[in-house]
Amino acid sequence: MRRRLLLILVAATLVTVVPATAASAHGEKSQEGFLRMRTVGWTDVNFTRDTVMQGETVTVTGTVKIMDAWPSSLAKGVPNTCFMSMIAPGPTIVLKERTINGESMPTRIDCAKGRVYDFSMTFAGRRVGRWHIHPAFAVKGAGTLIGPGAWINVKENPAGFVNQATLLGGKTVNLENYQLPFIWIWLTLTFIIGMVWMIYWTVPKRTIPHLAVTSQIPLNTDGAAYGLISKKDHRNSTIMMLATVVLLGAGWIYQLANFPVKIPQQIIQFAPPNVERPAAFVSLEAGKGKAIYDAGKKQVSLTVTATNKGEQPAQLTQFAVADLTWFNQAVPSAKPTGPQAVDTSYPMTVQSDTLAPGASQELTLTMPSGIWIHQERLLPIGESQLTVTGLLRFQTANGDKTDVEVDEPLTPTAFTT
Amino acid sequence: MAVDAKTLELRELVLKKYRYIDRKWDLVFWVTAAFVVGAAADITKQLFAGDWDFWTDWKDRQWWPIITPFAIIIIGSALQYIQWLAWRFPTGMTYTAVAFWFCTLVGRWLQWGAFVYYPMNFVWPATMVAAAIFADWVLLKTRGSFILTSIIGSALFTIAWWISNYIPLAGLLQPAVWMDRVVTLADVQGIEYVRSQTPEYLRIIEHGSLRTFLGETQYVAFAFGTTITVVGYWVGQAIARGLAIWPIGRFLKKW
Amino acid sequence: MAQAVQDQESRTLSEGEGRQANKPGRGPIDWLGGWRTCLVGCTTFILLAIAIRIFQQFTAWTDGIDASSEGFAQTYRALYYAEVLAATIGTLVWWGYLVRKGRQLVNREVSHDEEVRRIAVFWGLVGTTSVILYIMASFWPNQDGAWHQTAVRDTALTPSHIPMFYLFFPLGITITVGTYLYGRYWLPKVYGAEKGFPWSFLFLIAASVTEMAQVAMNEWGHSLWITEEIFAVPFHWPFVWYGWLASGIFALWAETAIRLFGIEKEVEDAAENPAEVGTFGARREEHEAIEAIAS
Repeated sequence: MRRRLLLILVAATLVTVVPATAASAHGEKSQEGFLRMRTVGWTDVNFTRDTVMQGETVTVTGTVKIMDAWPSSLAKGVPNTCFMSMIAPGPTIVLKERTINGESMPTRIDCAKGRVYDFSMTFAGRRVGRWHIHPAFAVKGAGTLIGPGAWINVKENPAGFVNQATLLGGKTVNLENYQLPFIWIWLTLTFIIGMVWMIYWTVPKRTIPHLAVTSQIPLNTDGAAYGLISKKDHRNSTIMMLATVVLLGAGWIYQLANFPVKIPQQIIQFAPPNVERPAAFVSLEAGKGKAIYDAGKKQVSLTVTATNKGEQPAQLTQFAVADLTWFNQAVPSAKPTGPQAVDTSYPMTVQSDTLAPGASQELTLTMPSGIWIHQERLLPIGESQLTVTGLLRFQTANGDKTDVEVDEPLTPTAFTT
Repeated sequence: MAVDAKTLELRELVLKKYRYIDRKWDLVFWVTAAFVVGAAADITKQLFAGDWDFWTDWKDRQWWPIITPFAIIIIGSALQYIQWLAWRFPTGMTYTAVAFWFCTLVGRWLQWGAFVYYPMNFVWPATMVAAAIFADWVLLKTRGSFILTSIIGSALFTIAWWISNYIPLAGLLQPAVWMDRVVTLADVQGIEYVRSQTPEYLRIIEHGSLRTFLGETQYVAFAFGTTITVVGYWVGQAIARGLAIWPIGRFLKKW
Repeated sequence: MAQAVQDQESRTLSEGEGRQANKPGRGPIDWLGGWRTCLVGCTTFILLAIAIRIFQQFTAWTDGIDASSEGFAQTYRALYYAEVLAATIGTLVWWGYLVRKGRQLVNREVSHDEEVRRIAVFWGLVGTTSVILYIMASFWPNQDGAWHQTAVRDTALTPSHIPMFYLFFPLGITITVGTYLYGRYWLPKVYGAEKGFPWSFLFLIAASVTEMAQVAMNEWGHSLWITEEIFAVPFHWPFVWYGWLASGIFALWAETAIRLFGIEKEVEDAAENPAEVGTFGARREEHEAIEAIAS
């Protein structure tokens, strides 16, 4: 047994001294391609900054769409209850504000397939360190879907960290430790009375030797006649029980006196207001698109036939898929900016990227497969749903933009990587 | 009153001197058994009622007082039977509660606090010690009637459990303002201290969808909680009688 | 000749008595005698859990969070392989020793001192079982809940799963079966093979085996159904039900305590003056209680 322990400790020691690179992902790369692509689409995600002191805030904004291609295997095909939050390695940050389509969102919302939500979340740095933080959109029956993440540096605040919360009467409290001393004292007091009871019974009396006696008497007798339990034991136990009553009574009076107004925990569920959005000026022809993974050329290409219904030329600038944004490398302004862009945006080649007004033409996006397969583990070869799904962004010269959902079958030329 | 020979013999047996059975056997038993007892109570609580125990914003007045006492009385009831049967000690529930207190405190502080860094005033564990004293006291006063203890003891257990855990919770149920909404401080804790893989819609608390009997939800929950706890008590009795005591000295001949 | 053989046998049979028990403080019921197994066994596994916990404190949120990263491979995946290897080898070595050594000594008569020492060792193994059950059913599950409710589940190998499901759950099987083997060979009057298989051990070993099996079902289910994390879901309840089977552990204490009383009776019966055999009596309060009812 000692040898085994030594083996384990040696192995553990070895791995601790080997330098290890920090993880950059949050587990999303283990999720299936369809889960990441066909559920929600993220666009225009932006973090206002990437370095804060404890207590200072960062705001992340963006738009999330529950895709029309929502899989029927999730939430029975009908998403109806949703939630937004931040993904962080524990409460390294605290969420201070959250809005959805402009309305404050304390808890959950009613949602539906095809709906588009503008969100804003403001969080404060709490724990010193460098943390990978993502916005997340959760759908009941499907789980938490992860948006583009950014490395956020939280620096130590010399004044320490305080998390102010405001009571209805206006008083502020520090949520980091409000009521904590009382909670510890209370838990300790209850523990002490329990130990007193246990010590009373187990120290003055032997334990194991009682078995010789109890095995010879009926169950429903306290053995008073044999000296197992005495009248004194009954009396003392009642005293300890009454002491417990007094303790509970004192605690009850304490809470009544100090916190006369209490309400139950709240669930505020609502359907976010609809935001008027301009009609899409580009549409895709159904059944005319395809995605190909060319194992020989190590490329993933997506071909669609798009029609420009607007009056201005429309250029394909971005392809948002899962938490990634592919940007048209021929268009400098297409590249996303902001801390989240570092890890989640990649250049792509777009053939015939501009649609004349009224025109209908084929567009082809070409992306390196190495990123899809090895880096992002997103291409669903080997999975049970071979599709590529995302949002294509078209923009005009005067800044109008429209996001069009694309959901095309994937054909690999080979299943090798 | 004349005392019969058997009684005298048993009294002698209580005082009997042994060559090998010293107090170390007692100490080793009480200390080593505490680990498995506390752990059994903890895993039962965690997987039957854990989420209500982990977070202040789950400690509501409809589900928490029903599910948690049911879960935690099970192992305590089993130990009541074992310790009364074996030693005539009315200590099973309190012993479980104290061992369980250690397990949950160590677990909560070391893992939820020191590992994941949730503030302890958000994730403090409920205590069952005060409730256990009442259950053990009833067992003693009824001289080992498990039927009466299951009814009276369970009722007192449920109420005492709720009181002893509502007291530390009360301060966190004060109304507070978050953005433009009125919620409790416990809700604010739940909103602000992010739980990445636990979306809020998973929270099973009073949603206001039941008729509230003129606002008397709490008392309805108590009444139901008490009856459910009686069921939990007898689950514990079955565990003790069937799995702990029945096997003593029994062997499987063909296997 | 026969007498010489008998003398020789009685000299060699009292294992614990031979070299150790003659030393002061190493007797059958001394802390460093019969109880040493309890002290060593319990503290070993507590220290092991603490060591892993310390390792996690420095690595879990950096390398442990993404199973596809190189850092994870160098830390947690390596730990996983080390654990599985060490636990497998250690288990087979220990069980093998118990069976080999046990077969040699099971049929030999032992002295009362030696049998009491063995019961204390047995209680030490049961105590170690209790500690391992605590670590697998409370210590790590608390962490697992904390981890899964804050980090996205990526694979079945997470920093919290690795010591829990892949070290201490298997150790549960190691210690329960090992304790049975010890009982079967070292305490034949209680657990000898001719009596059959004890129900107490059947329940206790079944608890550890079914818990291990439930791990597989748990991970399969999480990949199939459960994409969100709360703890108190029906899907997790088999862990509790199988854990209740561990109640068989109480029967072990009872069965060996009954044998202890048997040994005490044998010692008394063999003594010239039975009243002077025992030295460990009741407590003062117990004497007073009986005096009070007697008067």
